[in-house]
Amino acid sequence: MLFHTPLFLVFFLAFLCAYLPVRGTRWAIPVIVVFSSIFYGSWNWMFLPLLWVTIIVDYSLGNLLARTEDPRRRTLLVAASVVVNLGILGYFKYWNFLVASLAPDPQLAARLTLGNIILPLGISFYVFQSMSYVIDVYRRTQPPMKRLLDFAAFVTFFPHLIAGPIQRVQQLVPQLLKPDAITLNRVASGMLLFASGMLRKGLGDVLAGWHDPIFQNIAAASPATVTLAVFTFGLQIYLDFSGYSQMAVALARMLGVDLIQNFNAPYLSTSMREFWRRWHISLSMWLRDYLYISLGGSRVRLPVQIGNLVFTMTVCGLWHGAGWNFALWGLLHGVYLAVNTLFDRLAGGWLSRHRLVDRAVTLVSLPITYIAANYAWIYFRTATFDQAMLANGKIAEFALHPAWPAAPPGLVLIFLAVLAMDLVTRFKGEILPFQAQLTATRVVAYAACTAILLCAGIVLIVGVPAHQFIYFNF
Amino acid sequence: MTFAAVLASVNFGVSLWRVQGKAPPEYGTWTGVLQVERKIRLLHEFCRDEPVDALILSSSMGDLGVSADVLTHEISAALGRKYRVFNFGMGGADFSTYPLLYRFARMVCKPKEIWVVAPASTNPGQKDSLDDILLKGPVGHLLEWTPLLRLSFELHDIALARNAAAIRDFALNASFVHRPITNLDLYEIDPYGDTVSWLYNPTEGERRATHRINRHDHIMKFVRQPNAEGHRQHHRLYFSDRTLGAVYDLRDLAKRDHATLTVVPFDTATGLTMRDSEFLDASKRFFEPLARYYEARLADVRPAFDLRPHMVSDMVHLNSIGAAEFSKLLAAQVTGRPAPPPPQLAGAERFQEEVPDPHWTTFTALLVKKRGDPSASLELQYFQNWGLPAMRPFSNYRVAIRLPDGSEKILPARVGARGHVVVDTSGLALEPVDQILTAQIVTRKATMGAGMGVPLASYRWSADRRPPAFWVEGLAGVESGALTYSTVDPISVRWERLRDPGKHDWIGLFPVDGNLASRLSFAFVGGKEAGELTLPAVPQPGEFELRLFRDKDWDAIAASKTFTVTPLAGSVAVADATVAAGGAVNAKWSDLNHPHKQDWIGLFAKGAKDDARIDFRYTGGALNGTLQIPVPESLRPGEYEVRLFSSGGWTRLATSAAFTIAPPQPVARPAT
Repeated sequence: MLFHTPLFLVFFLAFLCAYLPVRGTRWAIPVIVVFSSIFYGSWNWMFLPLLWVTIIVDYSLGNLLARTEDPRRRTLLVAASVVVNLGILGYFKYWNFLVASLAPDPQLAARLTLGNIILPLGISFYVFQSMSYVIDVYRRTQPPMKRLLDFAAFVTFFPHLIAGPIQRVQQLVPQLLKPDAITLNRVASGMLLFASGMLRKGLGDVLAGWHDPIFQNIAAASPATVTLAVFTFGLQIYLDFSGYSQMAVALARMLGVDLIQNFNAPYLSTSMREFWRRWHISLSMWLRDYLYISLGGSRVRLPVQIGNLVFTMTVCGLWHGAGWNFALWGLLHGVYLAVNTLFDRLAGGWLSRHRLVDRAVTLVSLPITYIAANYAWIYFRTATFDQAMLANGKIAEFALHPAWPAAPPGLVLIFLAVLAMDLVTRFKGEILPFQAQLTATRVVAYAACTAILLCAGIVLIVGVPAHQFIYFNF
Repeated sequence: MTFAAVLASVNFGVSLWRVQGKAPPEYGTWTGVLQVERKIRLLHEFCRDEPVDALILSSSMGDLGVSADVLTHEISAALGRKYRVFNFGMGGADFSTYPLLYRFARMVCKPKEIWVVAPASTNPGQKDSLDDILLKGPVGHLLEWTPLLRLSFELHDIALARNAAAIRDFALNASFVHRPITNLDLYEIDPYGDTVSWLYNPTEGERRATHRINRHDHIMKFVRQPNAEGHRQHHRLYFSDRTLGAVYDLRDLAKRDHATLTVVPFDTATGLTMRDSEFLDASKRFFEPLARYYEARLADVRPAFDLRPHMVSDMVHLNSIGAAEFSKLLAAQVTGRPAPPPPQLAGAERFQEEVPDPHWTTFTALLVKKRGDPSASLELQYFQNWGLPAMRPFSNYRVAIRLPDGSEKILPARVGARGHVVVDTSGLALEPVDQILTAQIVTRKATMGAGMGVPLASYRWSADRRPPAFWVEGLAGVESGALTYSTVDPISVRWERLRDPGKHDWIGLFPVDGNLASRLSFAFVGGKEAGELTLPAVPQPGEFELRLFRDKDWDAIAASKTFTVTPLAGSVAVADATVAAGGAVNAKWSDLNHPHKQDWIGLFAKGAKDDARIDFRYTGGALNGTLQIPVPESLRPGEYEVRLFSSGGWTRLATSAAFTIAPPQPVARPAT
């Protein structure tokens, strides 16, 4: 059930009918859980029990952790959570990949392969989110939750269930239990944000309509076209995921709940470190808090820190998908971050004393970061390593013999529109933040902007073959 | 309030959106099939005020081969009350598709009868078949939920949603590059849902013979089986579980809606020509059980249908002439009246199946002219879909006509409104009999057989005798000041009767038949109702016309008569091979095709540049003549030449042969 489809509208209206009368009472959480389960089950009822296994296991382990002070037992309990969660994830997402990669001979690989395993929707998101609760309880940064349904609501809350943003218990659960008042300001800004997300999704689909055939037959496309396609895919994945995240945040906002913002103009970053602070923020924070810092973070010697960075980003790549291309994508970002860290260590001090040079470096860093981030998408988008190499060859050919790509003129408009949106986000934040005072002028502005974005969204979405959100695959 | 106002304003703006004077193309994004959506909208209009008595479900064979228009009129006349038939036939449909089509139709209105017009065929259920596309289309999952389906249709019918794909495409590509190419590009659909075809395909030739043999063998298999098991298996081939499931589905839907079902046996155009009893009896082995499964009555008019070659669009489909005749028979049978006699049309015998006619293209149209029809002019409405040549108002065409006696004429024609071509046929010697003519539109310079790829949607014989300039009579007019110009003459332009003139209404100069991109020059009329202006000379020879346009509108509202631009010509020679300095050169010019009083002849050193003129004289505007150019005494002896220039300018028309200027002759002194 995609957020921008009429079916979701019917679902959401039904949810409001059930939720609004009981909002703030003890019945609100059960309503959220039931409707979120319906939301998830509408994709495939068969996988609903799996979601609940994760919930029940982590809820139970969290409570067991609270009852014991024995460090060994605590470690065992948190390890059990990690094993169960990663086991589920590993079975559905990585088993066949691991077998194909590690089995010594093809016959054994064929025997161990488990046929076509269906990847449960949003499994990487809800497993990470659920697991983080147990780790937080283990670290004593989070008390255990008393009610199973509260924890279930935290995991299943439908706006974020399938593709994030990945939430933390301490951030979300208090809001679910005692949501903010649903004010006109919240609803108006939520609708505006939702329309903006829909527009982004639509723009992303338009780009996909152009570059998908190119990626299907890279060999036949001209070097300039392939090069452009890499950048349009970079833009598509950004628009697609940030659009989904905006819609998720918008839905929650209208219900009086504030989710973490997942994107903040990442392509306007001036370094890869900054890029990861602005791209898929909830995942970056999760990996930082639960993996990178656990490995020692930046408190260790530089070579170890570099190694930690590369390892964390490779895991990040594999989190996105079971394939060497994803691992390579993560590894590449790990290398980017390593270079970035080394540069900061070596030149950071000197640059801070030479402001003019520092500004010049910042200016140059912007396009370099943009190009580097987009280049890495090759490994994300192409199905095989051979295709990635083919795309690399085309890009090299383009670099040697630059030419104008055969592309529709509207692509430029999309790039400019996204640039404009991101410049506003980068320097002004949300155009119409819901916390601001609601004046008559603002009401008119909300309504007009929402209507315009909605019209544009309708134009971009109606009749387009239903493109699933890219991050649903992860 | 603001939200609704902005939404409504944008939606209203989109509903007014036009590109090149036309509404943007539809993309069929609601169902995934453009033709289905067009027919749903037509049905919506059709049953807005009155109920539908019968709904035809069929493939393209019935879509083209049965006329709901004729059925409506014939049955209404027979019953003495209104009886309304709508053709919901769809290209690519088969038995599995009919229940889906019916679900779309009943969403709009429920008919009292359903007529399944179908040939004997299997129902293989291939991927990307029409039912596959419809079920996987955006609304496919709503087909079982009529209220939601209806709501979805109404929402999608809002201008913004309906044109979303077109806007998207246009915004991205600056044109409609992803416009779906369908047979709608070739056919008009009339308000009764009939896909109209006046086409006659003269190029199929022997393929028809092969098709006939195959079709015959195909049907005869219903009786030519070795044993009972063979018959059973053959029956299962045609009535598979898939087919029967769809048949029962439609039957149950019809029952639920209290609609009766009728099976109308049909065939490919070639199949319909086979009327031998053996063939027809064999085919009954399909249609009788089909009617039984549907619990439907059978209305078989094939035995009475005398299909002639001029009723055939191609080897599979009838054209609208054939559809009308088949429908008359069907109407007679369902109303229990005697079958009408087959029409006798002079010239029909000239059409022979399997005999190719290389002079005519696949866009040839057949026109019936009844004895009582007027004949002063012929109005042809050509289908103007996206992707087809745009026939703009006031552009000139020619229409090639073949008469029943086989003689062929090319008549001048003019576009009145977009796609509406008026042909002056007053000069045609038409016999006062029912007859059939062949017509094909050609461009002004094209010849017979080089027809344009644009299909005829409808035609009408008219009694209006139009003068040659009928297209501008009573309307704004634009004319050239002369019928011929040289390549250096400015073009003088006169316009008049321009109502509500705008400052930026404009007149453009175009090659005859040239498209808008071929414009050579233009000028604004400056907000005047009538006036004159001058456009720059046309440097290349050819035939041109002036067109008058409103501001920001690319459809001309008037066009001038054609005028010709010819290259300048002339010659010049000197009478004497040697001229003494101080004397005069006798220059003789002739053959000036555009004489001008400031045409001039100059004296030059041989090979000198044109601006190194020694002296000159004007010709005075004469076509030919002689003049004298004085030679200064101081001129150095040597080789010289004279050159003829046009219109006081520097366009050189001709150069004489070189001649010699000798030293001045000594003046004889008087003896002292």
